[in-house]
Amino acid sequence: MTDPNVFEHVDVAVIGGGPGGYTAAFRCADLGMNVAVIDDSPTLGGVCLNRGCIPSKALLNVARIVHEADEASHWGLKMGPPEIVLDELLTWKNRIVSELVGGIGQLCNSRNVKQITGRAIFIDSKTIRLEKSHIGRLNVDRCIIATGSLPIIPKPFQIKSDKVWDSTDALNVPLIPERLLVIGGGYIGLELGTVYSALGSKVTTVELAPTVLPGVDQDLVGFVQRKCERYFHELRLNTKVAALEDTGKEVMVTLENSDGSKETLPFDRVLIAIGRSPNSRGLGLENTKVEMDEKGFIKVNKQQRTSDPNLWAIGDVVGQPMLAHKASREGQVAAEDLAGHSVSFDNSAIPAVVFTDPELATCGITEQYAKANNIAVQVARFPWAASGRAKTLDRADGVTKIIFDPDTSRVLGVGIVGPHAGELIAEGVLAVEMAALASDLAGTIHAHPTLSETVMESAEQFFGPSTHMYRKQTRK
Amino acid sequence: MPLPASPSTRALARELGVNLAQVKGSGPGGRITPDDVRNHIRVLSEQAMLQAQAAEKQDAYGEVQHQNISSLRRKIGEAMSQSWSTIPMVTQFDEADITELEALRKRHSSTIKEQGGGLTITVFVVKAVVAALKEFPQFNASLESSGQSLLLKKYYNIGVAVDTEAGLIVPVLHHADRKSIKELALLLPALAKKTRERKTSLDELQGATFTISNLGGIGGTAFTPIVNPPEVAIMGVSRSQMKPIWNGSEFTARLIMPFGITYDHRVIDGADAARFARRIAELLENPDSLFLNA
Repeated sequence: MTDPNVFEHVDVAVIGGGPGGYTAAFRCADLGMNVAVIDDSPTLGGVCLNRGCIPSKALLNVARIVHEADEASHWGLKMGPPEIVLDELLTWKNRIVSELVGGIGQLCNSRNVKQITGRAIFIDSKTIRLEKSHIGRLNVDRCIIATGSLPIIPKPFQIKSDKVWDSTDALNVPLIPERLLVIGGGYIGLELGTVYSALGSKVTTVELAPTVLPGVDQDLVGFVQRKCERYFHELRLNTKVAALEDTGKEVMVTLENSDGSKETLPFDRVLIAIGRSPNSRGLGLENTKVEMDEKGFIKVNKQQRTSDPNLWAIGDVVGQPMLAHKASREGQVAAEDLAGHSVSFDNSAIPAVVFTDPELATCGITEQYAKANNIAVQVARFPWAASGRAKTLDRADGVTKIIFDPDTSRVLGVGIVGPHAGELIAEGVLAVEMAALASDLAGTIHAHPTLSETVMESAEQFFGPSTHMYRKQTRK
Repeated sequence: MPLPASPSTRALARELGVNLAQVKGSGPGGRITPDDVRNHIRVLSEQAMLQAQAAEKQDAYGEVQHQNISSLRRKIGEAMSQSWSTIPMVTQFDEADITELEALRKRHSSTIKEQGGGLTITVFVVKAVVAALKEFPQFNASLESSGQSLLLKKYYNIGVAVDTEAGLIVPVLHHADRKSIKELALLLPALAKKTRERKTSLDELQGATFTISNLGGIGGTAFTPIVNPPEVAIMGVSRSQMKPIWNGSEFTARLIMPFGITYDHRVIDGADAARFARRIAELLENPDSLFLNA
């Protein structure tokens, strides 16, 4: 019960205990500040840990095994389709989450970071009213706002139905629906579609754009799309969802095709995964000098400072890309700025990973972006069909692509699709950050036989043929 | 597009307050290295210091004014310092009776002027010097870097010092031995004008084997010019004056041109220098000999 008479003071309050918030809080504590993390859940970790990155990756791991069990029969390993014991699956997933959450809690204790459960609302820049908390009011010197984002559910889909899911619902896996409609062909929709199709649902994915993962270069998307078309029941592009109706038995969904024709199909569950919006409403920000843009993102400078001199903001609530690692880096920048260090968020590349099967990972500029902005580039590709390691994994469905400056051979962007792309992209990010040249990557020894060699050979392709891929065209 | 600088370089730039966009990268592909960042600061702070100095108007004793030194002057200064500190120099002074030569010059001067040239005493001096250099080859040479041998030049490129607004510049009359007095009289004023207008090419300023500096037009009795390496000798000419000269029986009024030959004493001895200077004087005193020897 909130007791408005209980006051507390902290030097720095971090609002939101997700990856951005707790990283910022820990850094502040390590730099000697007196910090409190405020989250409306008693478990820290935010969306990422509790209902996002972590649970989805655990489930995707299961999906990968299901696929491999199927592929293994080609290798002389006869397993047959696995039996899914849902409650054991969920117990395992939940245990992972709770162990990690526990870990964050312990890290808070080791650092003397005060953990406050409650909903924070600003009365003014230095005073926070807490709801659902045993503390009524918190006086703070400075704050870092890390309130994250929420799934977007457009008004027409806000029908009061437990058959219409957002990503949080989907990750709780209350059941394995026979027919699942996934609205949205972005990374969340594809990842969850992959999970459910592996668990046994007939997944139909609809996407408004002519391609899934719009914004990602088509040559990379192709590999993912083809696999999704195989695993999903149906992948419908250029398709709009006109209406949803819960009939009690099922959800009747009206789909509108690009030619204007409509059809209504029944589904057991509908997952809406069309994007997320910043969680900046209802926080009392109007009582501070914080400014937001028309989409609700909090405006910040390169030191993560808002328009209010006492308030900083990081993570999903300040803008795209809405990724946990972007939030953590911003969290460190904010903490260092609060400590008076000279710091700036000036990273040249932020990696993005889609954990479908195959995985897709990118960093730096894309071919699309270069074309749209008249940036001259030279692109070098190495198909995984020529990779020894890929062959041992029986996964030649991949490609490593590097985008170079044609004059200096500087690495401007990297795109990888194939198993473990998410791990491989790290070298690409480093190459972009360090302004590495093609010869730096090509001249570095990469272990054999690994998928990382595809990065090296891709770089070699800048100059001409590489060892395992011959092509006639050469460059001085 | 992000600048080609690693995160640690960016952090360094930020700490030192350097705007990375203004730093030129010396690394491969134009990468900006931490040293590039530090050098940038050095350059900026030198500039700032100069500007601050320029702004000062007083020192301990009274009013002062700062004046910038042009890059040309700095280069000349460096060259002069280098020469002065490495070459043991001596100047041999002499005089030439140019009464006859001056009469010759006056006779032909308007003809040359009509053709766009200028028949000056310097033109004749060039001719005399070339003739003397042929007889004294060690004055038309360079000391090889080993110090163990002399590189005798078989070509005669005479540098003629020109006073310009920016400082002393020495354009070169290449193969002066192959040019007639008339050709030199046409070439030299044009070259001097081009030099004053700073329009000379690099070729026109290089390759001299011997230099003449004539300050006689301004005045003075004598000066000790500094040898211009890799040359080993230089001639300085001062103002010609009418002087009473004893001809054996009486004093007559003669036009006397004083000059000095500064030479590199590692290569040339006093006696040779005295002979060389005398020979030049002889050639100038007997203009017919210039015609014979040119």
